[in-house]
Amino acid sequence: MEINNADLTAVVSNEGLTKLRERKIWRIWITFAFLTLALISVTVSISKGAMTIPWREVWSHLLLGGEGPAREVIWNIRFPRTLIGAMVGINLALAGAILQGIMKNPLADPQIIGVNAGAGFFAIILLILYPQYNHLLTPVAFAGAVLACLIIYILSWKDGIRPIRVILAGVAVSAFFGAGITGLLVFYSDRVHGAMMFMAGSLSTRSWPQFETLLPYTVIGVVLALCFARKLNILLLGDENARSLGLHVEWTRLLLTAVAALLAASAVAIVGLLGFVGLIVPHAARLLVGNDYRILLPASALLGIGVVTLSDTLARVTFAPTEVPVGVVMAVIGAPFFLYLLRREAR
Amino acid sequence: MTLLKLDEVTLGYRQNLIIDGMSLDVEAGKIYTIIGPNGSGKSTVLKTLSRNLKPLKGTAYLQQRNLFTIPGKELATRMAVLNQKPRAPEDLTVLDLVEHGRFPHRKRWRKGAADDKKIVDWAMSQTGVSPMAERKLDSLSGGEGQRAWLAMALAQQPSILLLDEPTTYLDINHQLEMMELVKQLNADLGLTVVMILHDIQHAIQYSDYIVVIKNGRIYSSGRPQQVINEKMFEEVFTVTAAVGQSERTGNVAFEITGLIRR
Repeated sequence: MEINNADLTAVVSNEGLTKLRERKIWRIWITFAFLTLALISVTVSISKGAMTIPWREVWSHLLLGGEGPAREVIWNIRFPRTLIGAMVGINLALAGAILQGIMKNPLADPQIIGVNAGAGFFAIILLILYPQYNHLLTPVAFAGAVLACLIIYILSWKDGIRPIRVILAGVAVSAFFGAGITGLLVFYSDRVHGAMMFMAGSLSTRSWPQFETLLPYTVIGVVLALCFARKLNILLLGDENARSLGLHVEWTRLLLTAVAALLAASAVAIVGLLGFVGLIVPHAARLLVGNDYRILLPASALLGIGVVTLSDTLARVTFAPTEVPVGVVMAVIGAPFFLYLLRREAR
Repeated sequence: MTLLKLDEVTLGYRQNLIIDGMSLDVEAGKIYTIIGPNGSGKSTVLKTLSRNLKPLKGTAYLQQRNLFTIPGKELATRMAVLNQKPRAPEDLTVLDLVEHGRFPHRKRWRKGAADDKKIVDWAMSQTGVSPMAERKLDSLSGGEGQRAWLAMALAQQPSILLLDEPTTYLDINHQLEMMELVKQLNADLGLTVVMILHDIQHAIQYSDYIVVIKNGRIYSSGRPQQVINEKMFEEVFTVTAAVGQSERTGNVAFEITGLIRR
């Protein structure tokens, strides 16, 4: 049998090219929509609170400067808090997107590499047993997150990182730290309030110092993640195919796990255990823009900004003056929305 | 010219030796087919040639260089692999996939070379997948999917192509189409091919050399007519066969006549 010669010379049809172009344009539109959402959420977050500041005024204060009580509120409280929320959104969304890619598991998120369990355990030891050192919460939680990651790395290392071993080691280590957390909360049930806020994740009272801590991780993480977008795409073809395309699979996976770990650990150390963003935001972005990491990473990051800052606004405003932990708001609103996306996609 | 060479390699995993001291020379521009019963170690050999499994002993060479010390990207521009049952994200299009074949040619600081697009087009037309460039891999039939993956391999512009049971999940028509395509690429581009096949008929029809593996050793190797005989069928595949010559093609031909029960 001969291969049909007409087939051999045929080029991509015009119809095909149009379809491809339409798909690309759709993805770019969605990303723009996410960007718009991010900007609106940030504006709303700065505008709403005990004192409402009109959005025009918000931007004129941010861009041109200005005087009056609004200036104090914006620059000392709302703007830094909103920025931290945005960066936390970026960090967790990117970490989740990266981990879902390299672990080949749709349920992968920063929790799977032990970030939350490690940070939580260390934070709670500090908050409950050594409350006089409360100001060290961020570095201690960060150390806990990194330590848990390292333990999982070491346990699952054998000629490179194998996703299934990471996931199993992650479950085991998380269970171990989780038991420690529960034990402490039970023994010291009179001191759990601060600990509960940390466990649920909260942006309350976060300001410029935390912003400065978080900034380098976000910047480096974003740059590294975007540099690795194409390699993540190659990795999606499976280890064997990635290897035969010349990718160093073990090193790439190791390095990307480290990037995800730092992104997530820095975020969690500052705002507490926000579990939801890292799992759901990349998925929601994936359902809308597809699996190409060159667009999925920026889209996830932008959606992460929107989701966290908007949820934080609601957390502050809904039951004011009482503040709800932002993690609770996110789960209550995000989960149904995500299920809706999933059903729509399954049609 | 010897292109690929296995020199007394022992392959396997710590407690489980699969290939025991095997040597093999692969000559440039020829088609080699590895045949053997299940569990004989033929996939393991291919895994080592594709650098997915380091030899425990011995060395694999690509022209005088140790295969396992060549930088990954450099190797990927010289050797491409079509793995068994490859999987990809469900929304990947044929064009996306074939473009991935250019990955090893890309430099970090340089944008895709101008001829990338030309080579991708060429690879798709060689394998006949141009008309389905915009379709998602999920929507393709088995044969089309295999051709799309082959197009990705071609986009690497390799001189060696490794194929792991390229026809296993295809119907007869698409099996033959795949084999013809491989033969044609070998003839047109001088591509050296090393593949694993289960179908001995195809092995005879399309290979320059056949390597028969039994229990982790090379049982015999050579031209099809030297290798395919009644004794081989009995000793390697434990079946009885009548072997003769095809009147139509002059190739060695066989008919399996029965099972040998042990």
